[in-house]
Amino acid sequence: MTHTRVSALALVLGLLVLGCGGESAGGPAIAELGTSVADLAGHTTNTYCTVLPVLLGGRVRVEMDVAGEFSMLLEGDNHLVVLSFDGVRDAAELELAIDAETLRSTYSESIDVTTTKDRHFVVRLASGCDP
Amino acid sequence: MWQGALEWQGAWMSEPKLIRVARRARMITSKVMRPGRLAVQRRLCTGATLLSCLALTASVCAQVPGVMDQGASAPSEDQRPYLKAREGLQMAFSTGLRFPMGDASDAPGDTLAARYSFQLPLVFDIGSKVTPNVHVGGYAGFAYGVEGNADTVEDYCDDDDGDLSNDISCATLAYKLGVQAQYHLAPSARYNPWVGYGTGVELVSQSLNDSTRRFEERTLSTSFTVAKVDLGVDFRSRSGMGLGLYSEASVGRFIHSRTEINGEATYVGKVDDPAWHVWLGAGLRLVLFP
Repeated sequence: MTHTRVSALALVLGLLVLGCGGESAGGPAIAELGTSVADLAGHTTNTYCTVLPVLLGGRVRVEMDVAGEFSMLLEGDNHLVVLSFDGVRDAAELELAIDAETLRSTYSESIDVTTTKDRHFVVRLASGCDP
Repeated sequence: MWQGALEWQGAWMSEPKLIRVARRARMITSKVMRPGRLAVQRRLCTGATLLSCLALTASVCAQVPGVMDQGASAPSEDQRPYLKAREGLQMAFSTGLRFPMGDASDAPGDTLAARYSFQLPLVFDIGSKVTPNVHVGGYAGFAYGVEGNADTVEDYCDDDDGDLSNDISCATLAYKLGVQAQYHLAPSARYNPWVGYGTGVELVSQSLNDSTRRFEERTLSTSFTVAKVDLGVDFRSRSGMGLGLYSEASVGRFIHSRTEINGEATYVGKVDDPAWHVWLGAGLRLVLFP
């Protein structure tokens, strides 16, 4: 094989590798929801990272108990996650649904909750999980 | 007697030949008559008895053909069974393709075809033919496939970064186990059609392993197979083995699921919104003692 043909073959292979392939493997980012709870004194507890499933039929269910004062239930599948509260005032109004697509982009939210014992907490939600 | 016979032969024999035969007959007659009348009568009686027996046997056989079938002469090819119908142990290995239909759950877009692709099954049947027509036994097998046609999952499973290494693997394995019964329509024929019904459980495991993101997910879905209806036909060879074709419709619904993400179980429990699904399949089977 002549030097010219070898060069041409290398060029074609290089173009195939660089041109046909995408920049990343495996589609969009994995949807993750980071949760934490802070009291009025600023002490942060109950830091969790919930990774949403990718596969159809995959589910996630996490129950978080916050110092015996109230609890949070996080249920999700590959396209939606629902956060509900127990032991807090106006629990039905505080229930929150977050789309997986939202979690793949930048998302953050803080929710003030008052327990049935009249104690105050701040629940912080954010997309992604800190390593 | 001899003269009568010679007269009959004279109709087609030439005259010199007729004379020679008549002379030889007279010589034989004189030799036979020489030992005495008693011996001649004994020989005649023996010959008559033999002729009578032959005539009687011929008439009996002509009137009772069943006796002849079991005895001296075999039945014709189309009347005779191809191979004796078997009873007792029977086994089969089958493979082919099966395709998903219906819904995996009542969730929007969660069809069986969205979750799983077509699969390549390998199934082992074992049981007993309690009668030549009825087979009772069990089945166990597995099937291999890949992800279904859901766009989101296909995107995740598609390794298109062009680094010429396979960083992502997506696979589906199904395991099934159950009991079944078959009714064989022509158990002694060369081509034996049959119908079957079975019920059991099926576990479908789907996995996604992305080494670049260090993300692993596995879902296990358990379904109750309400009805596994089979149609098939076996070609029975004389060697104790058979080859066949089969088609199958397996109706079930998922009742339990388990999800593991990065090695941790994130959900274990019943399926809240079950739905009916069907696996439609067809293929070949190898039958032992068909």
